Amino acid sequence: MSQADDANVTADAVVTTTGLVRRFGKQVAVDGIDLAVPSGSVFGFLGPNGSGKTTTIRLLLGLLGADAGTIQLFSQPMPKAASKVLPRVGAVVEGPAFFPYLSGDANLARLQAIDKTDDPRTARVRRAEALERVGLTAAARKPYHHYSLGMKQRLGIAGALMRPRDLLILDEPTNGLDPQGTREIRNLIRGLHADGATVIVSSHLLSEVEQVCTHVGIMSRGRLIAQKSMDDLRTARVPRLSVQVTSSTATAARKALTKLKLKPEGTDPAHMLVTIGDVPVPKIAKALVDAGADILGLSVEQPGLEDIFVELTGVGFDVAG
Amino acid sequence: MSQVENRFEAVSGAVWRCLGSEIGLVLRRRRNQVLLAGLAALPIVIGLAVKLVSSQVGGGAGLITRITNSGLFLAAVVFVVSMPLFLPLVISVVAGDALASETQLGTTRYAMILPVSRTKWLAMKAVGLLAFVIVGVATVLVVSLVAGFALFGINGMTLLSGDTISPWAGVGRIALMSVYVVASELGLVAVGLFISSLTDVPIVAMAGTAIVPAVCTVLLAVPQLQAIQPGLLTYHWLDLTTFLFAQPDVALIRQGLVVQLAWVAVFGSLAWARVASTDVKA
Repeated sequence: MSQADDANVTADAVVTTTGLVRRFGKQVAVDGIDLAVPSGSVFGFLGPNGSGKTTTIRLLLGLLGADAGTIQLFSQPMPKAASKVLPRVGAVVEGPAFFPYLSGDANLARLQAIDKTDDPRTARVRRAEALERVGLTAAARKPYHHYSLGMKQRLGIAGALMRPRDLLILDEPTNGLDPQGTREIRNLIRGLHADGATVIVSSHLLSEVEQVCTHVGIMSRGRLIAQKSMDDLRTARVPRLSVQVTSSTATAARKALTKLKLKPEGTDPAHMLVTIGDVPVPKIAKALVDAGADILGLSVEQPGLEDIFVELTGVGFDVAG
Repeated sequence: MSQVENRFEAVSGAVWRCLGSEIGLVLRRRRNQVLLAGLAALPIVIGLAVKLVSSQVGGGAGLITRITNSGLFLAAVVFVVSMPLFLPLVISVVAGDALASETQLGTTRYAMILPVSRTKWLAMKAVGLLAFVIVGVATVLVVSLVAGFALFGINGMTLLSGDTISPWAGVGRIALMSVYVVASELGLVAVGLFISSLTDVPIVAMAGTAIVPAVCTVLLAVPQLQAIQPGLLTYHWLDLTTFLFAQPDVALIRQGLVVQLAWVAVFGSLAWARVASTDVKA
């Protein structure tokens, strides 16, 4: 896959990296990636565990030094311009981290106190608003070590939201959250996006972020194997037809499909998946009926990101690189 | 746009807010409060022991018997007794914990991305530790004086040189002594910060820090090492007794302070080099 095809509007990219490399000993965690996150996008940074997402994010934030390549945030070099750039960035990296013996509110106050650009006059109000936004107002005074995993995750996000941010980097923000919590995070991301912020969301669960992203970057074994807008991705996807028939007529159905020069796939002989190509669906349906197949289900499926990932890498998404 | 630009400006009073937060973090921590309570208990235990036992036995040698003559000596005894072991142990726990615990918790990375500069990070940790040392020594001082006066009365102080000074002058001597005690722990604080920057396991850093004065004390017992002994961290620690003479040996005090400053310079630089390197472990 050539980088030229993938290149997004580099001109107003919020995050740009060129040839970014980071090694840990002999292992190459990030292997020459050219990232371009467009301004105003919700950028899904996807890939299995161990594919280099978190290392990349830590490089972007200046927590790690790069072995090669360049990083720019808001067109300024990182980590050199960290003090100018980072106040515009809110982030949750590698899970939340707070003092267990302090309350959620006290932990946020601590972050404000050591941030020299944080205005103390509005600190309390902004803290309360951030807690409200993640639904932690009721638990604000409880010590952090009494929080559930989901509440900890929310506090981490609240920490990133205490000031207006131009860029939010959320590394696996839905870790430890129940489906309801996951939905709330998605809504939160939509809200931030609507406010004009650029959001980078990393996840190893494709379906979780698929719905909110405008762009995706897919990592595998330290490489950025695809970087596209969701629109481009959708048009590039080839829909498939799911054909379900009774098992006694499965052979007849398979024969009918093969006759139309289609290639039925799938492990279950009575449930076939067919890449449609230019054969119209009604024609397929008629052929199946004419062949005497008892149709139980017939539907057109848009492949999800997961299928695209498998297509791109040839491996399942769960295989760590 | 001006709104955006404002976000990069430091707010006035930011330094004090930051230091206040750090000192509060150290002093409000339950574990540290227990350590301070332990320090506070020391003069009471020693005072009661001397009061109860000496009334039966009577006499005895050295500093401890002098307590019965003047409550002021209780503070002096407590400093001399706690200087080689108890105080360094308490400080090692807090100093070793300083950077390592934040690395272990992961709070370091969130401070770094605020951003907090690496130098400021180290400096605020050092100030927090210094505050703890001062509060710890002040606790010993105040509790010793109160317990000493309560148990043995407010009398003039007969110095080791034989002269007797007024109670107020005695308080002055003890206060000077406590300042020297604080200064004597600065090297250890720097060592603790450096070791704390090496690991994300606080207990390792605490133990590693506590071993340093112990090793120094062992080396002081080896006559063949005479050449290096004056530079050892603990060499001048017990020179605090010079304040119990009519004419304290100023040269000795100065040497003690120089040794501490040298250790601060060496280990402070090492700690800074370590903290300022690019990678944040946690």
